[in-house]
Amino acid sequence: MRAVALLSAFKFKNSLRTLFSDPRKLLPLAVAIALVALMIVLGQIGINQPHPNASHEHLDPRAFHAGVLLSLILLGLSFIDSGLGDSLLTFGMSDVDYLFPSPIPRRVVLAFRLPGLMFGALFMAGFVLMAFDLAMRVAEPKWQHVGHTTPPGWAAPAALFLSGGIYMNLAMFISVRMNNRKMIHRALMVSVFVVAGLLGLVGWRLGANTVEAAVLSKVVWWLFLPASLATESLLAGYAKEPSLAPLGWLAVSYALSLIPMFTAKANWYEQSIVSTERSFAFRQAARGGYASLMGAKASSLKSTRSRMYTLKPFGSGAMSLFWAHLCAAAKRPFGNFIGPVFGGILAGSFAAFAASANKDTETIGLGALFAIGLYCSMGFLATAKAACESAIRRRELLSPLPFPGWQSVAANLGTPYCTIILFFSGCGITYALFRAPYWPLVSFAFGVGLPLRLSARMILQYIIGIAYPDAADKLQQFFAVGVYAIATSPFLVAEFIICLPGMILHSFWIVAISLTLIQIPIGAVLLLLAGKASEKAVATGEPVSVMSVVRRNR
Amino acid sequence: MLQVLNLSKRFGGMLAVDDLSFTVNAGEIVGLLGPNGAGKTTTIRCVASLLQPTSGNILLNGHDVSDDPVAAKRALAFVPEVPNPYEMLTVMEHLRFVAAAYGMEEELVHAEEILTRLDLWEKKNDLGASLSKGMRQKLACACAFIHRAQVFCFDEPLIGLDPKGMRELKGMMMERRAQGNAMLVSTHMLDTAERLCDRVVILKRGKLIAEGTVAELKERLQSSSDVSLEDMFLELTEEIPGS
Ligand SMILES: Nc1ncnc2c1ncn2[C@@H]1O[C@H](COP(=O)(O)OP(=O)(O)OP(=O)(O)O)[C@@H](O)[C@H]1O
Ligand SMILES: [Mg+2]
Repeated sequence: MRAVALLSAFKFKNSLRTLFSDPRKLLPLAVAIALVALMIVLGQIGINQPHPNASHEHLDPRAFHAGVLLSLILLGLSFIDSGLGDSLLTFGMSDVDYLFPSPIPRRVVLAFRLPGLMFGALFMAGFVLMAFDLAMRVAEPKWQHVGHTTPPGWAAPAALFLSGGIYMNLAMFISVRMNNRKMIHRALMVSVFVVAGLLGLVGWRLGANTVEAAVLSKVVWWLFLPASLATESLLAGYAKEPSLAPLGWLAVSYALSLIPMFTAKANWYEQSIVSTERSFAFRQAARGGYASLMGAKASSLKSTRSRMYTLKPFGSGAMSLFWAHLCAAAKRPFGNFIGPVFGGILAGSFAAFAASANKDTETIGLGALFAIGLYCSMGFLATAKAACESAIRRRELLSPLPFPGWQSVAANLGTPYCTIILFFSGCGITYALFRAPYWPLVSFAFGVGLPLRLSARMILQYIIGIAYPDAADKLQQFFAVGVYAIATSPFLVAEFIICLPGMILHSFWIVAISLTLIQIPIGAVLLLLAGKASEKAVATGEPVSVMSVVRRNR
Repeated sequence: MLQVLNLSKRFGGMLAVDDLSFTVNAGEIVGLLGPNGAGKTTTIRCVASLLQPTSGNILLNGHDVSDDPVAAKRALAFVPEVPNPYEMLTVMEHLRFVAAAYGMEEELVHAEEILTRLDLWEKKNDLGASLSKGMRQKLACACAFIHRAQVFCFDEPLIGLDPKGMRELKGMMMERRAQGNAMLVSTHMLDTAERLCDRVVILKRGKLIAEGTVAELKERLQSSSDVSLEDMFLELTEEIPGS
């Protein structure tokens, strides 16, 4: 017990020390805090806005109850599902080498995972509460007040935390205990889809009331006891019923759920090593480059099936480097080329359907497109960072190559960029084919504007990757996000200014075109800077500070 | 001290270790030899109870590894094939953690001596992340020597060490042998094995194909006395028509 506590204390102390030893690393910390604060403030302002739709109909409380219960059940199932995967037993390789062979009981090692699980449950509880609050505002169910006691404010979060924690513990127990989890995983997935399909069918044929009755039936209540109890605690406050009874049962169940986890005698180290080694190799691959490599690594670890790849060399200079990257990516054609196209088509058709259905869903469709664009941009930016890190790692190979830095940056970013273009143009073209609302504008933005903007952002991320390669632990990685936020802010301001004429004239087209056009000079300048930084980084292997790159720029 | 009895380990359809039995007595260094993929690492990982044997038993100091892992592991020091130190722990903190894990904090008085012999004393406050490959290897060895284990398992400990490090490590192993500890060392360096080990166990595709002192093996193969272990190893692993 003491030894593992010592280990955690050392780790924590040293990661704080490395963080605070370098003032450079504190700046991102400040920015991260500021961003979170800003988000909270904006969220508060948003929440306190009165609902625009005054003649809003109130949702039936029973339907609302069923909806909340269903969401919590799905959340619980997703926790259990995580136990059927590898994630819960994935440790660090150092743990495999130092902690596992030591005479510390497995139970104690497991106990030190518990705070992580609890934190996960707590985080989820906060998230669910926020979502619940939002749902309450939108649906505005009319409750019948059946009593007069208001439960204390901590009851709802506590109930959510406990129910999430129970499912987490269950997931952990499954991880520790079951060897062949793949089968159960598939069975669970299939049954979830079957039940969802059945519910959909029932709702369509027999009406929503039947679905409601099915969800609120006793069978479901007992089957998903933690979720049901949590729902009751959550909703009891609005009916002004005393709500501490379900909470008490939840606490008892939580305590009970710990017992199987800690009494299992299984030697789960072996399973843990398998998944730890897999994720270690995966991370090595991720540091080394592309999603393609990660996928190849993951699949090679799962199956020993080997494939032959022989692609002829092509082009000269930077072109050959790009071609080599492209060939590497072609080893995972699905992840790199086919998947993005399909993903784009899928996203585009979903948005098009939603947007063309009727006036109400139009906002949903356009909002979904916006969210997809934002989310995927973030994901794609990460690949730029990985490409940069791999380039630094391969500097022995790259530095003798006789072409200017900017070409090598372009070649390194070329493959991830192809993936991006495939995805976004797939999305834009599909949307246009459906002639969904505003299709010329949307397709232009997705097919031309966003990819161009992303290219500039990717190059910026590349520069930052060169300047901040030391993301040794999770804390630092987290704060490195702040650096990116700082670096992008001037460009955001520039983009905002360039948008002003269009905004004044109320023309989305002017906004879109000017936003797109400005990306070209920004991208070119950044590419030049990235080239310079890359030349320096490749030559020395040392981090290059962003400022020094700008200063040396003639 | 260390008894491996009819150990088998299966990975899916592949039998990595097949009915393996051998013993390492107190005051003895046994070399575990075999071509790549012979099952050396798998055997050693089973001994460290990182892997669950498919069948068979492993006794460490009389404690069965499967039944009483904590007592068994208390007697064992294990150096993995590719040690990964904790990136966020200093060298000295590694030793403190290991000593605490084995409940032997009083042994930390030897830390300076061990680290100095392995050229790590100046690095004692450096983070694991900043260590070179050889230093990582040395750190793992230092951690193995810091607690009073009776059985040592080394998986290719000499790879990546500088000449001085190799000599010091071999010296430390021999000192421990003199103190009556049992050592199992897997290695590909046959000349070292010949000089360091009292006995060798040769594996091929998970099966034991030869065991004994180098002299015994020579006798068995009816080789002339100037034949090296390397020649015998190649002859054994080549000749026997393997499974
Ligand atoms: N987790 C695993 N899953 C599947 N097969 C494995 C696993 N670990 C090892 N093997 C297989 O077991 C066999 C023995 O591997 P092991 O690592 O024990 O060999 P080794 O003797 O240590 O080889 P080397 O000299 O290369 O270190 C190999 O064929 C290997 O592919
Ligand atoms: Mg090995």
